[in-house]
Amino acid sequence: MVNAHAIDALKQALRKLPGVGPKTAQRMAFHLLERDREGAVEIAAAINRAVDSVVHCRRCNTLSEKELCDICSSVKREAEILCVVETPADLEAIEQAGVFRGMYFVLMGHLSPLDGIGPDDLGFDRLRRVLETESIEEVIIATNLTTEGEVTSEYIRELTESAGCRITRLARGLPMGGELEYMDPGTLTQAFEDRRTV
Amino acid sequence: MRIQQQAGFVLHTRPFRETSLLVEVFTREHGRLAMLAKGARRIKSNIRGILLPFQPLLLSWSGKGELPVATSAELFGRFLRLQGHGRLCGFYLNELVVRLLHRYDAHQSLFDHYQRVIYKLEQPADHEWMLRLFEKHMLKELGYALVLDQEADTGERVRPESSYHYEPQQGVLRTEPDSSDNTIVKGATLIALAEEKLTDDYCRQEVKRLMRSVIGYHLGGRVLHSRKLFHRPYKGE
Repeated sequence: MVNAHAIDALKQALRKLPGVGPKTAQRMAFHLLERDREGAVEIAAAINRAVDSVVHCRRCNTLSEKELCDICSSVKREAEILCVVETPADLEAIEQAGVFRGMYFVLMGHLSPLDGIGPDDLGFDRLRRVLETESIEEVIIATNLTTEGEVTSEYIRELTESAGCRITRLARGLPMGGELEYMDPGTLTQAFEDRRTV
Repeated sequence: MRIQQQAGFVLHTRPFRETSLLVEVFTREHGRLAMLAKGARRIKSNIRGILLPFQPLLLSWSGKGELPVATSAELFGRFLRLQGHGRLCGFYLNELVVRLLHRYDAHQSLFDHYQRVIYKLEQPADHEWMLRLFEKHMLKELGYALVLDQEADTGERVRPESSYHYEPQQGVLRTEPDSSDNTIVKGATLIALAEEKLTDDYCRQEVKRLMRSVIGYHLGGRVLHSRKLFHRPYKGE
């Protein structure tokens, strides 16, 4: 019976992963136990290590193995420009594009009342501390262009206004390779609103 | 079962698996329901920019059981742009609908009311009062209509100058004036709400408190998170 418990416990544990239901959890559990025990040990070790060593960077709030993440401790970055993003994944995406050389702040989510996420659940207080203690010239708001991202953006703007720096929002409009004919009305409306002089 | 081109609004979306969205919608003919929009988070998806809250849509879906699959979503009319306070009010409306309406119960007249409010939220207006009237209509649709113009225990007509308590289970009860008790409302306020004519800011405050307590009662202890968004600790510093 001990074995049966261990298998059940594993299935239950795997269900904690996003998008994994009972069937998938069972498939994963049997795969690991039948075909890839080495992989299972590796996963267990990696999870243990990450949980032990990963913390929030004390400045930008992103996930980091050090108290101060690589970007925050780099001297090559432009310290006067602060880009506020929702998640570490957004930060990664911007880093991959390689266009931005300033600093980040990661909120760890967005305001979403229907999911029960309010202002107290995000890093607004820490963001405020960064704005108060550093000489930031420009805050770039880079939240998602979803309804929740927009509300979050507004909240950041109000919070930032007292710091007296320039506040910008990432441009909205046509994507690269976009063809007008297939564009949805919302995107087109924004593209017209945010058109610029050439 | 295929259902075509139904008027509806998105209330909330949630990521599902790698590329899909779970969408909670409020439709005119089928009430509140959830559906799965497969691949809606792919870059090439033609509905990712359409399945947004606060947009009048025509929705089609198919499938039996708990989770039908969205087959198409089109904008029905112009793209609405709620901003600032109007958008926060929209979140509040959506949260009310999600928390209080049962799934699959059609509420046509409430849907029409919802639609009117959403259109009005795009413009600067007395948004708060609109929310109060929507709440009142919603309670009526749910079978908990407020009785505001007569006392629950005596059947007497409510008088503008008297003081009252509103008990969610019973109704209006007359009480002695007591300025330290902020659950007491003036008769004039009850009449204003019954006639849906706002008189002054005092009345507005009292109506707000009254509706908050009644809605709170029907929520059974659950919290409406969108209320927190109206509170801006940083504003005006």
